[in-house]
Amino acid sequence: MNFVVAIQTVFDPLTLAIILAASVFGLFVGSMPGLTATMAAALLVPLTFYMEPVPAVGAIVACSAMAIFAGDIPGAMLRIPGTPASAAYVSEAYLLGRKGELSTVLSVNLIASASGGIFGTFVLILLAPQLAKVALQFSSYEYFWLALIGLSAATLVSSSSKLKGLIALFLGLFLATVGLDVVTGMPRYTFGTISLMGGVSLIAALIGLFAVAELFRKASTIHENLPPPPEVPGAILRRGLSAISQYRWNAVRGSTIGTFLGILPGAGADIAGWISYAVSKRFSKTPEKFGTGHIEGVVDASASNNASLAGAYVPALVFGIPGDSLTAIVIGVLLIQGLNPGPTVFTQSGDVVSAIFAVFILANIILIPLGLMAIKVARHVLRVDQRILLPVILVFSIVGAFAVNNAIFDLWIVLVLGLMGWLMEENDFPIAPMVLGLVLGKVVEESFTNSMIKSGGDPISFVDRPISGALAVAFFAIWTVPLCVTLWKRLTVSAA
Amino acid sequence: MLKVSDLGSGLAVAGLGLAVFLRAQTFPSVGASSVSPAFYPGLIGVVLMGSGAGLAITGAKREGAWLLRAMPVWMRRRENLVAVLAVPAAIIGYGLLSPVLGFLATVFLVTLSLLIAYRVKLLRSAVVAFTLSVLLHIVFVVAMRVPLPYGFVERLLP
Repeated sequence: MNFVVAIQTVFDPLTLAIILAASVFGLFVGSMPGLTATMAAALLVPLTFYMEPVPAVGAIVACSAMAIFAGDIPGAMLRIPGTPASAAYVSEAYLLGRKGELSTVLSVNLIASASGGIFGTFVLILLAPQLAKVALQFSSYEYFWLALIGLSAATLVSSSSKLKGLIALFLGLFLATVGLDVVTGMPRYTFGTISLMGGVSLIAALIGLFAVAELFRKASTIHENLPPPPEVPGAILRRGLSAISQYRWNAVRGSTIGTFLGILPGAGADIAGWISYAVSKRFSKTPEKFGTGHIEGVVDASASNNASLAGAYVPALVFGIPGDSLTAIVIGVLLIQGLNPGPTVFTQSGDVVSAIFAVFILANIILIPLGLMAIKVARHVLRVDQRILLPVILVFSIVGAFAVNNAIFDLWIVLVLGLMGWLMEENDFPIAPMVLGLVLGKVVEESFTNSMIKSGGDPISFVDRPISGALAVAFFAIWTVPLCVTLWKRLTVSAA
Repeated sequence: MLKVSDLGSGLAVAGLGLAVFLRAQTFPSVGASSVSPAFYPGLIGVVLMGSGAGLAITGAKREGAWLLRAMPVWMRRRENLVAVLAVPAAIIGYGLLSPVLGFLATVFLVTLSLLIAYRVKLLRSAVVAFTLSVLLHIVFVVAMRVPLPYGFVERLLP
């Protein structure tokens, strides 16, 4: 990997302009209550279709990092998290604001987010190439088990109901089977529709599930006005620096937890925030202050959710297994760009990978000045009329989904999956496993079919290589260990 | 959105799983391949059937034999109902109108209709719809050279 070439690519004026524009877009979407970082990324996908790989992925990286931070702004000002990743500490941040510490809490959010993001990026830079060297030894057997492990972890972590997570996953896997069969070329579930021969358009599906589903939800409360946001007084950055220096080890701990939860498929920024906040409270010297407007847990969780973003790129880049919904989108973007996420991307497109690392560092550095500006103008941004914002985003989604293939049929996919995503989320079915199923469905089927053909239909060959055997054990352990623990607890309770 | 009971959603998922499985059985095997094109989707159908049935049974035990849990608030308020229905109407409207009217006129009309449905004043709606049409034209057609549907407005442009 050549970092000089990578930096030259990233600092190309057009690439920089795209990263900057995506950052501003991410800050705007993230700070609007009800619009998520995933939605911001999904809305960018049609535009990235016409870009080179580095600005395309750079736009998604910068946009998502900004959006995750910006979600803290309405949380502290209005007690409404801008994105679900800020939900864990929204009450704490709001109470701090009510105590006259609004500048301090927003500044802590900003500095902790940037430092967490940079920490996660360094782990990504150090870990991903080493793992990729190991992954180069993998064959279709290992990829089959890895994809199953990724999908299983995503299903088990993403929802309180494992059964609903499993159903969402298999709905996604089913959608991935639509189109021509990978081996025989036979059409499946196309019902004679030529537009479905190539499968369900990933971009249309992402826009439907992440953008239109959210717009449906927002439309149902469109006439409810947000409360007036308060002003952010005084010098912002100085106050945060003194709070962060007091709780610097919390920032390191939050960053570490966030990065490794990001690497775990399915966990993502939302869960990283919750777990880091809980850990902060558990090990605090003053746990009684939590919930009363105390900055300690905010430091941990703010660092954690941004750190998880970079962590999620480890399985995405190394194995082609997305760590969360955002990296599922990135995998889609890489595939559209003709890059095949997996260990070979490090050898065949090393400069692109290095450039992605450089974009991560750049995005977290420019987060400070852009974030300060966002805090200053947030009061005005939060006054944007939702009745105008929603139609603008909806029309942008429609045109974006249509523009990729110039196909009216893609709009029907957007509509059907938008309705389905809304219905599912309102009834506690998680969307993330469905998207991961849609993205990984073909990988699972192809690796399974190739392995079966190679082995002449012998299932033992799936477990007779050392790594594939270990991965198979890990896969079965993911499903059976929690079940055994539950049964053991029930038995001990009934025995007592 | 409608709050469907776990019994209702479980039955729907199991029904879908059955349909997926039955359809997969119609896929012919090709040659001596060790994996039929029906195997993987058939397996998905079976899991959907099983998990859907599991959800329906646990839901019926916990919540009783109800298919719908609650009628949402937005369905009872006319302005919220219009706001929600405007979303699919806009997507369908764009799909049907853009091949006939072209990109610019369709974006203007769809945006204007949405804004009016959301009770934004007419003049403001027209200004926003016009600005958005021009902006999207610049982004998609001028900057990214996407060949969006050509219509009577585009014919007037230089």
